[in-house]
This record gives sequence, C-alpha cells and structure tokens, in this order.
Amino acid sequence: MSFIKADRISYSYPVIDDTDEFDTKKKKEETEKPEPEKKQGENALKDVSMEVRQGQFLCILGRNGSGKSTFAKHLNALLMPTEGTLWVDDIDTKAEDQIWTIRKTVGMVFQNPDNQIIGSVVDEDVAFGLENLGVPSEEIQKEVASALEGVGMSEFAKHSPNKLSGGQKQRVAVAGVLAMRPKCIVLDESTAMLDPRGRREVMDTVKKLNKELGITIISITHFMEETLDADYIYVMHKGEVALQGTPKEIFSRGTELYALGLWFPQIYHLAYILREKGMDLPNDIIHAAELKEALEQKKK
Amino acid sequence: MIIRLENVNYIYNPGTAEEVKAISDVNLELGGDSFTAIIGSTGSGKSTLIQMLNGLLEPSSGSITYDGVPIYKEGKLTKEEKKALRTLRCRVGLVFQYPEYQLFEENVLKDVCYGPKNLGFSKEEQEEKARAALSAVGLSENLYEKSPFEISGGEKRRVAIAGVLAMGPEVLILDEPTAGLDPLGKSQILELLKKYQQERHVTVILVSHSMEEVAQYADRVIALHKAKVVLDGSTRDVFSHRQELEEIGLGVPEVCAFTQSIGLGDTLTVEEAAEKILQMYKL
Repeated sequence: MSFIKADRISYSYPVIDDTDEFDTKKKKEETEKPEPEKKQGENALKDVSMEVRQGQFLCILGRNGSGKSTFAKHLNALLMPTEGTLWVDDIDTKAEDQIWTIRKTVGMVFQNPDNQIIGSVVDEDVAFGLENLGVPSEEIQKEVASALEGVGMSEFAKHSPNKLSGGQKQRVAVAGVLAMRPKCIVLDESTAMLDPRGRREVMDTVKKLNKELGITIISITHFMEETLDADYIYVMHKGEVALQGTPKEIFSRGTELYALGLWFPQIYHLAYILREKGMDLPNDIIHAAELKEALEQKKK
Repeated sequence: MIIRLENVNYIYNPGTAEEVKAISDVNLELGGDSFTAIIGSTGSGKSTLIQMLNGLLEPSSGSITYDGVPIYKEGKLTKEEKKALRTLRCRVGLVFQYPEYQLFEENVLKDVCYGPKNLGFSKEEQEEKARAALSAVGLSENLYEKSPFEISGGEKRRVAIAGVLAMGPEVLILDEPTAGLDPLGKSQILELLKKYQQERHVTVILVSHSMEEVAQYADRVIALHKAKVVLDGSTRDVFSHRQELEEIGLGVPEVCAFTQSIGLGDTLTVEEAAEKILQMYKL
C-alpha cells in the first residue's frame, strides 16, 4: 500500500488580476464571451501521479522551474491541488481538519540553513515545533535529546546555532523535524548551499534515519551523486512527470537527460565514454565499486 | 591586472568577546590570464577574501595593490591614490551569491545598463555594452524587454552576471555562481565564464563548493582553511593533495578518487580518466 499517492494532481498559482476594470469590460463586450470563472496562471503541475511507499528513499529531479518544489509543498499541505487528489498516509490533503496531522506526518527541510533556525540555542530551536503543540516540557526534553542524537548533534545542544557550519545547521533543521516524529522528511534542495563535507553529513544523516527508523525520505536535488542510492527517482519537466525509475534505469536513458536538467554522475559518465570507445561494459554501472569490478574482469 | 595582497588580516568585531579572525596573514598574487578557483569549507574565509579584493571590505592590517597602486595600506591613502582607486575599482567586478535577488529594474536590458550608467557612459554606450553582455551570457533578445521577475531562475542568474560583465571587468570574481542551478544551467554559466576568460585573457576568480567543476574549469586553485591559504597551485597540483583536501572538509572529484583507486593516479575530468583507462587496456 502506498504511503503517499498523488492521483493526477494539477496546480496553478493564483494570478493577481491587475488588468484595468474598464479594459476588461470592453474586451468582454467585444468578444461577448463570458469571463472565465477564475483567472489562473500556467499550470505549475500538470496531471502528476506518484506513489511512494513507507520507508522508501525517493529522489525528485528536474530543471529549475520544473515543478519539483511546487510538488513538495503539496506533501505537507502548504499547497493543495487545484485538480486531482493527494493522499498522505491515507488522508486527503484537502481535508482542512487534518492539516496538522499531515504536517506532523511530513516534515520539510529547505535550502537555506540560515532561514530555518529561530532558536538562539540549538536545543531550543529543535524544541520549537513541540512547544507549539503544547507538549509537556519533560517530554520535549526527551524528544529533543533523541532527535539531536539521531542527527549526531548531541554535543552541540547548548551551542549557539550561528556558530555552526552549514552542514551542522541543516542537521539541526532535520532534528527539528525529527522531534515531531514524522513518517516522512522532505528535503527541498537542502544540500545546495553546503560545502562537500556538509553535503555528506546531511546525506549520511538522512540515509541513516531512513534505514534505522524507516522514515520515508523524499529528496529534491540537483546533485546526481546524491541519487545513486535512491530506491526510485521521479524526473519532472514543465510540471509533468517526464521519467521515472530506479537510478540505473534513469541514467541509462543517455543524453536525453541533459534537456531534463539531469546529467550523468561521474562514474556512470566514465563508463559511458568507455563504452562509446568500444569497451564492452554493462550499461548500468553507477557505483565506483561496480566499475572497478568490471574493469578487473576485463584484465583476466 | 595583478592584485597583490601582503600580510593581509581581517578581524570581525575586533576587541570584543565576539572577535573572529576571518583572514590571517594572507600573502597572495592574483590576476593575469587565469581561471582561478578559491575553495574552502563554510567559514574558511572565502567570502571575506573576495570582498577585500574588490574593495568592499578594508583589511584590518596589511596592504592590497592593483597593478602596484595601493587600494589599502596601513596609514592613509594619498589624494592621488584615492583618485586612482575609483577608476581601478571598476576594473574588478564582483558577483555575489544568489545575485538574482539583486535584480531590480523594470526590464532585463535596463537592469544590465545600470552598471555602465553608473560608470558615466552615454545612453547609447550603455545599451551597446548591455546588449553585448547579454549576448555573451547567451540570453535571447526576446527576453530583453521582459521583467527580470518573469524569467526563469537560471536566466535571472545570467542577467545578474551580465550586469557585471557589462562593465568589462579585467578581474571578474564570482561567489558560487552555480549554486542551486540544475546541471544544464550550471554548465551554461561555466562555459560563458570560460569563454569570457579565454577571449579576453582576463582573470576569472570562482568561489565554488563543487570540486568537479573546479577540476574541469580552473587552471589555478587556492584552498583556504581557517582563515589561511593552505594550498595554492595549478589545479593538477592541488588535487594531488587528496589527504589534505579531505582533512579540510573538501576532497577530490569522484572520478579522481576512482582512478587513484585503480592505480592510474590523479585525473581531473571524466574524459581524462577514460583516456587513461583506454590506454591501460590498449584500446
């Protein structure tokens, strides 16, 4: 059974109608057509269907402006589909009385580490969400401690967040979400602003949460290397799902990926060139270990 | 143009409990016909350094010269030096992180005209420079009249870069110009920078967290760690220090680590790695 199910959802951002009233009237008279009920912009999402199982590690890729973030905002009901239905843990996200259940179920971590931290001490920041829910303070302490442990930041509990590195800040942001005991964490380009170590720290942390706690991870990214261990990938293009499959299936699509805002991870790229030059190698090599083994086979 | 830094220090909040040394005793010579990359983990001092290079921050001590003319020195600049400074500064352009948030004009063309306008060029010259810059960043003409808020993220980023290119800087400094862009957007920006650098034999200084793009595009790499320059040399030379790079939170491109692991030594690009492997198998 699926944990998240998007059934042909579409979404268009509302457009502020700034046309002159007089003009509109005139136009209406000229054309004698009834005005459309609601003026809307171009669809940011068109007929998107996706399914995610509990415990999956999913990646969403695509060009800037392809609708990835718009989709992500639907996952915790920051936006609601204009058409179609999205179920999160069997709840229709349009059910207004369930909105807080949904937001507890799916936590979001955004791109800029400096925009998501509000507390002046790390553990206060992590406690923010629980405090808002009126959880008793003893319980908060317990949850915060375990969330910080989960992201490997326990020793920084009493530190000021502004002295942390980018990767550490993002792990604090993950802890803030984790403290709410979500079933799913959505990372909306959460590594885009980080240095190589920070990127690794954040990815290792969420992979661990995925494996050990079974938390579903949905990661939106432009770093192809971060997708190699994903269970499944959706590629969005112009508001639609353009491709879907396992990392091996996706990358073996060849150069058409470029137009979709993707590119080969380096190891796949290397194997690709070697094949082009006539070397007989399997066409689904994405990991260094696989390429190493294939090359050793050839030596024999 | 050559920018020389001698014994440069920069201290935030000096004399307080919050005192932080962001740049510590740096000696560097930058410029010439080069695509230089500055790498380093968050907080290593990269942003402070580049802001001093174009005169936005004044060093706490030490001196900085442009082609031998001081832009900062201990003690006051003379009147002549101050006058020279103004013209010199225009020759060093800085593109900030996420520069698209700084677009403000009603249309793309006007936004790019802003720099040349401030330099005192006539209206015709402004437009001529703006158009040349926009074409250099590969933006099609039908976007020139659009509002900068109507175009895509990658396009906005290129408009912002064009705004600095239009001033024709001899040293163009960019702070993570590809952050947050998709692979195609990234390569468009890097290719246009490479072209600008190679056609004019000027200096492009790129701050980047992507070792892959640094390895592919830069000819010189400077690594900062805890406010000091720890590595400085040709790209090949710097990436041969894998252990040091990993110790300071960086690393080498994946393909480089791979060729090392199969005994083929360092490689900078996927193409180079492929060549080495093919040679090994005599293909």
